Amino acid sequence: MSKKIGVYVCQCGTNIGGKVDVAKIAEEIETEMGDVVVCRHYKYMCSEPGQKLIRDDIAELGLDCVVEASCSPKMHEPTFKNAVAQAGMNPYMFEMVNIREHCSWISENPDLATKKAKDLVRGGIARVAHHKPLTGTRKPVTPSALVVGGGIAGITAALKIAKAGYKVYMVEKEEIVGGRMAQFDKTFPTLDCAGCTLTPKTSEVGRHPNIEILTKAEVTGVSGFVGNFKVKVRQQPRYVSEEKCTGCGDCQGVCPIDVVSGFEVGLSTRHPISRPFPQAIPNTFSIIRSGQPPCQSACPAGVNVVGYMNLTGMGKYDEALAMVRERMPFAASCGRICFHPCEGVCKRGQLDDPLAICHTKRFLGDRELAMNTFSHPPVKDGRAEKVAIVGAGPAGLSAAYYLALEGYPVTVYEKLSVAGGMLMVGIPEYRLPKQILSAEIENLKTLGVEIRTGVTFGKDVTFESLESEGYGSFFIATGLHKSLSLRIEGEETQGVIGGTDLLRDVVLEQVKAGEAGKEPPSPAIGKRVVVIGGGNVAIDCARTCARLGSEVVLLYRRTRAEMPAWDIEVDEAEKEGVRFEFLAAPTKVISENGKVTGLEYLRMELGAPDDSGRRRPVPMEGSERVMDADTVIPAIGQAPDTSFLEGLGLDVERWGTIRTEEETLVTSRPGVFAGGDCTLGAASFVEAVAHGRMAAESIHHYLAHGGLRPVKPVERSVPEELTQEERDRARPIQKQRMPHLSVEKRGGNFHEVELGFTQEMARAEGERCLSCSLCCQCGECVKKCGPGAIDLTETEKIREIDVGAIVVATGIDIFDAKKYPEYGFGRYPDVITNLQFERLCNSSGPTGGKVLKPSDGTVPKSIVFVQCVGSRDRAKGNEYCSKVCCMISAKQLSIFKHFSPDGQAYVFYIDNRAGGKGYEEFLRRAIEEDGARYIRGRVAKIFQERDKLVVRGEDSLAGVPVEVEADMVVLATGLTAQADYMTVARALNLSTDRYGFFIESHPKLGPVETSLSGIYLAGGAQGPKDIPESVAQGGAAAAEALSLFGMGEVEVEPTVAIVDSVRCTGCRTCVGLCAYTAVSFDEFTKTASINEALCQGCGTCAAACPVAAIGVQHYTPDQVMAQIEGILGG
Amino acid sequence: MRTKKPFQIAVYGTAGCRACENNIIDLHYQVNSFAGRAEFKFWPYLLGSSFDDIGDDLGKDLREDPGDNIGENERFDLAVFAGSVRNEADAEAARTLREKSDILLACGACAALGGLPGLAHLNPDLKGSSGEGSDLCSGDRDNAQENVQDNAEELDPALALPKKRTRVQALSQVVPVDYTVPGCPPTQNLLWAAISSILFRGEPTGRLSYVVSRLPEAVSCAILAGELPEKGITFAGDKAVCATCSRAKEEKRFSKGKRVYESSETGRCLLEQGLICQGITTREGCGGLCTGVGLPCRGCFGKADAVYDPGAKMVSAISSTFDTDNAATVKAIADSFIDMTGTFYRYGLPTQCALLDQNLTEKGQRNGRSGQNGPSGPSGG
Amino acid sequence: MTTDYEPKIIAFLCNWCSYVAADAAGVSRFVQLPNVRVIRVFCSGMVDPGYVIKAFAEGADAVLVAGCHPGDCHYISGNIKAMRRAALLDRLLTEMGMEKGRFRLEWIAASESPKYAEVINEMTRSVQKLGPFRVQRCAG
Repeated sequence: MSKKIGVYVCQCGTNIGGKVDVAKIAEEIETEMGDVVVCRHYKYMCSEPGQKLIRDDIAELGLDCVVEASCSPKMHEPTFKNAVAQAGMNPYMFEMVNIREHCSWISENPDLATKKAKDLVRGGIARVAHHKPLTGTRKPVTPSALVVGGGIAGITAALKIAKAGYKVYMVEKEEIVGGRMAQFDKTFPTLDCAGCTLTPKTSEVGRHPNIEILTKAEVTGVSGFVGNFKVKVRQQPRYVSEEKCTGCGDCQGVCPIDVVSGFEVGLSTRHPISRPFPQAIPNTFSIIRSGQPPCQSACPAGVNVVGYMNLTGMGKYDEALAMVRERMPFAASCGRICFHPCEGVCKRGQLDDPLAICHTKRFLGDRELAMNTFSHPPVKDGRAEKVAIVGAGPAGLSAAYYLALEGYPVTVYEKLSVAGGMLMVGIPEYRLPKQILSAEIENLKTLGVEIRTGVTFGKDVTFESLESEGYGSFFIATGLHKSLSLRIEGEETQGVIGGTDLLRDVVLEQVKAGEAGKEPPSPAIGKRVVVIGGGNVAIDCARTCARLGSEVVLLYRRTRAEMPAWDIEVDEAEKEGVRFEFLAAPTKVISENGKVTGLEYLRMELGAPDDSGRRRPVPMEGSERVMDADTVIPAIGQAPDTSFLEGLGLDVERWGTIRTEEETLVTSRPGVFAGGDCTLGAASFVEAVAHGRMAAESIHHYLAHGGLRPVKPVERSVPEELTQEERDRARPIQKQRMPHLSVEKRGGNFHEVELGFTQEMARAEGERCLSCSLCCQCGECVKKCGPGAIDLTETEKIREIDVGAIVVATGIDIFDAKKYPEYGFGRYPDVITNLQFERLCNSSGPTGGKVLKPSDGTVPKSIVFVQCVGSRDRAKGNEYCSKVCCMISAKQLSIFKHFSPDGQAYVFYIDNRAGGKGYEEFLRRAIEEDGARYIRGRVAKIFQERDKLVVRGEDSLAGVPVEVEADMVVLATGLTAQADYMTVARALNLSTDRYGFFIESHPKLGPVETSLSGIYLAGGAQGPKDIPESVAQGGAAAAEALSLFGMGEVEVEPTVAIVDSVRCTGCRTCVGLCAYTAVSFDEFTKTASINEALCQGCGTCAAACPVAAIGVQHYTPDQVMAQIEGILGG
Repeated sequence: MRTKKPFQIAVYGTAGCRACENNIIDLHYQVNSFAGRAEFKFWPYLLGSSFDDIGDDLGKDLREDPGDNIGENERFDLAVFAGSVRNEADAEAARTLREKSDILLACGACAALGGLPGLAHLNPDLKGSSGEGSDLCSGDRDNAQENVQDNAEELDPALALPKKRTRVQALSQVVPVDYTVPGCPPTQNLLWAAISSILFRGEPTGRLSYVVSRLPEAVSCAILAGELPEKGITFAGDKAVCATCSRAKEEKRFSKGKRVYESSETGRCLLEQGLICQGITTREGCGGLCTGVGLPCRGCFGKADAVYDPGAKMVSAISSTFDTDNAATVKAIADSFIDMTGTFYRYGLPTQCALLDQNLTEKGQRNGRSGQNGPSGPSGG
Repeated sequence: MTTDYEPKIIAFLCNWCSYVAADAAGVSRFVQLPNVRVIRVFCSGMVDPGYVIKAFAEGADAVLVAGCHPGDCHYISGNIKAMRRAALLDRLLTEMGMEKGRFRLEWIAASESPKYAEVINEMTRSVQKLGPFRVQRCAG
């Protein structure tokens, strides 16, 4: 059954008729094409008589469908759809063919143009025959709006919608609303005070019950469709409660950090905790923090380095130490022996040298010990449950420390006669003096920690015995004390001593002697000592033996470059006379009657790198040598004492360490936790401390809540790259060098080598901190805040909001004048942007409203304004006119004239654009009354000559080069899209032009709509515009939203994808392709199913479907195929 | 006790591999159904019959005039034609069997779609040939000249070999076909379903139930109702193989094409494993025999009804899921594909490749353009 | 190739970028050779390779698919799908003996009307040089 088709060809006056033989087409079509019952042509089809032609034919001839060949459907499709609808035809039975934009206007040869037009019409006819009547579905509208951006456009929209009685969520990136306008001083052409006109609006927004402001927030994604959007918003914490903050400003006084103020456009600094200006909304303070600084992230124990470094910089040593103690019980010891990964990542390192974090910490610790005090976080109320800790090493003792702070009675059982574990018996005196460590351990005891030395767990006490004594939980931290054996012949010979054994014996002797008050007997090592290994333990052994008067050779199978020991240690060892034998591996211990007499070893050479990345040493055949020795000390690593561990009956890893769950350190035995080297294998002191803390938390949660440690959200980290702003912020202070004990003084004794920082040095280091996290969370403000409004532990929130309409008013950014190096912006302090000038004029600005030169604070006599900086300049990629700069400069020069009447203003301009009510008159006044000299032409160069700036350009009217001397140059920087426009565009699926401004749905008739219905544009985000235009557009956007709410429900276009479930084979090709997740797989029917509400009708799934089971309504394969045939069939 | 003469069946094989005919032979398990009710009267491959045995006195139905030997006036109830039409003898046979048979059944991919012999159209020697008179023997043509085929006649007329045609064609492109059973070879249950529903109409269909369930509604209804199915239908499903493939389908993300030996049996969709499986566009009916054992579908049933051009659809379906947005990487993946024509049009080049104009006749002149439905079946939507 | 030969080119233009560019080209009267026939689709990702093959099978001498630039797709990533398909389709067509340049994918933003006119003219001329299309590799 063929359809009755009516075809109408428009002449569009001469627009089409002038090139295309419309009559010929109409005639041929009518005769050639069967289904066409009528084919007319008319001068203006879009006119009422034209539309009437169609309506009448539909009525009289009973047409099934209509083809209209005229202009672009973008122009008049709605018109004609409407016309056929009036005649009772389903608008989707209509097809429009574009023979104007795509044919008559662009073709030269009339015959070919006619042929082309006819082909296109034939295509339309073939297509329309396959059209089906369609109707959109109706969905209710959520009567609430999201306004993205709190500038004047957004504020206007928000207020209009809110006043109409609908809920509005305002999402603002900054900590206050007001946007750019809040930075301005006066507005053209009336010279009203911007603040006085804006602040009433902002405070109204702040007050309005229907408006909820989300500051420091960004939209991360939108799903849904017009009237029913789901918006994801990520909100950074303010850290200051808007309810509690009274705005007194006490916090600012104590904040140690100064950063460049964005609000003041770099003309002054601000504290991370601040309020841009007194009338700001929300009218409370807030804290800016860029994230967790690298040092803190790198520290296994998570010490807030930036915090205590800055406090040290302020000379607040007690507070600084308290901050260390939140995460590190042993400041003095840690400051000596930590391998400080924090310093490796310190961003100051990108500038000169990283901060001497570790040494500063040591200073804090030493200072405290010297004053014989002990600062630590407050101890919580006592608790009943007893905790037993096995092993008094760093892990065990830290666990004890944190448990004690939680209020638990803790007992630590230690096998050796002394507490401290490897810190005590593994690290020689000259690196970590025993009395330092002991003192710190003593401090722990003052918290009520009981340490029982000389008690072997598993022998003297057991789980059972302790449980019977009422211990509720255990922490096993027995460390790693067995030296790995060399596995070479003659290792059992007397005179071969394990590295850790040697160090331990030496220490124990020293301690014993120390107690007895006499010289320690030199341990059983001979004159010629060979130490084997390349790690810190090997170096410790070597340096120890050197101190005991032996001549020491250190044997290492790789080269120095591969040594795991720290360079500083190796250097010191060398200084102390240790000889290094690289690329040598022991093969055999030579002995006579049971005593070591020498060591046979092989020369090695470096082969291919192994999985650790270090080049594997390979022996050179027949290179055996022998060196005399009476003591051989293997220090190639430690192993867990498996015999002991097996006794515990805990699950053990293959390599003999205790198996624990990484997040909680819980072992296979309930209530028993384990940490430190006995779970990690040979690890570092600070990792042990971290484990101690983790274990303490787990044990606390186990005992208090019976659960395990909850995993805390991780803070985003500070960007690694050093920013220019941070460079500027850095104080010019040299890295402080650690003073060392001179080599001569080291022999035969164990005096400490590193002598420590003085107070001045520590403070200097503190001042070097860039505080790259902005707020360093030193907590000074928290202490100061009366109402207790500050909570530094806040974390970012993710919110999901349901709205019916979205107004995008993300505003504009200012062109970066540095892109014109010839203008010297950033190089000469008195070359500023017009936004900076606004701040200079602003009474709440850095100069209190006086126009002063940033360089010396004097009043400028002459100012040159340079127009079109970043506008209308193809070379800089901005071809467009920023629209407001001409007026801004006129305004600013008259403000300047009012401020200093004898001043002279010059303006280098291209064209003066003063389109706007009262604008031209205003500009005239600037020229005539304020006597500004307008010079037509671009500026070539700006340079300093003595105390003056010289502006060199050309007067293009006179055609001569000109040079103007000025005290200040103001660059009329153009308006650009926000730097992060892409993230917004992606989040909201908005299309942007090549400059990053969002594209409206129609340049003339749809200035605030976007191609996505329900999402509207307002203000600079859509293109450069001035305040009244932004306000107008804000209002218009609000009106769009309101009319949507008024309708109550929306018609969803029926041009969505439909699945033919008979054909669909459920192959799931389509499911992954949908950008809107509208396609899903129906497990019940085993076919694809499409959520019409989500589907946008892009047809990607349809094109991909292998069996053509999906088609987008009105764009089905048979419609397109038919169109192809129609076009090519002629 | 049946007095009526048994149904007369002719089977003839042309360009092809004989697998179809072997499959008919393998229907022996149905022998009791055949016994005494149908006999294979003409079958060169099995019975050594020859066209010389068949006179051209047409129209006389021998069923009224009993007699066992093939007489001049032999007429067949059913002719099963296997193989594609490659040379003049094939064409002649097609015409003869059409004339002498009530029902002509195109059996197997070759007869139904053109089959592997159809790939001769890819012979590069034909570049620039205007279509008529071109010689489709493969290999380079100089040697072809010395090929015995061409000068055999001079040596000995008895050795005369039939003249090759300019196009390899499916049976339906030469004579009207009543029914089609695709597949390479056709599965026995489909073959049986066809023969029994054509000849033994109205008998219990129990043993057909599986097949019937896979056939298009129209066909199965006819079979169950014991009527002759509507002419022109295909004894196979109308969906694609995926519908019956037992493999687990998750998300398709194509990053690297694999060969069978590179894949591991995970039970997951072969395409998702990187094998170029054409089950997504291929007419079902086989029940996913190949994919079931881990072999990617080669498309021997031809394209599913709704598909316009199998090559285009395979391209679209696979490339859409390329697992990268980077132009260079996309190109790299695309370049890793080899012999796409030979793969995607393996069985249907003469009938299903839209770019190869199906309407060129033997002599190369057009007879009207193809409908918008493309090679066969609707274009979907 | 004789110059009076007028090839037929089918252009699938996405509704949001390239079709707008084509309209704009008309509005600004950029003269174009009259060989291109535009078919409007919502998104370049909607163009089934089958459409392209159909166009060739129906006698088109070249086919152009144009969409928004990567990253600017109105439907987030439809144009990326188009890009993936074009790559593989181009390979298939080349295998079947089609000369390069008969099938093209172009990114033409709404703001690039001059580029649109350029592409149209340049493509038309190059196709005029190639001459009428017929599958070379297959006898037909």
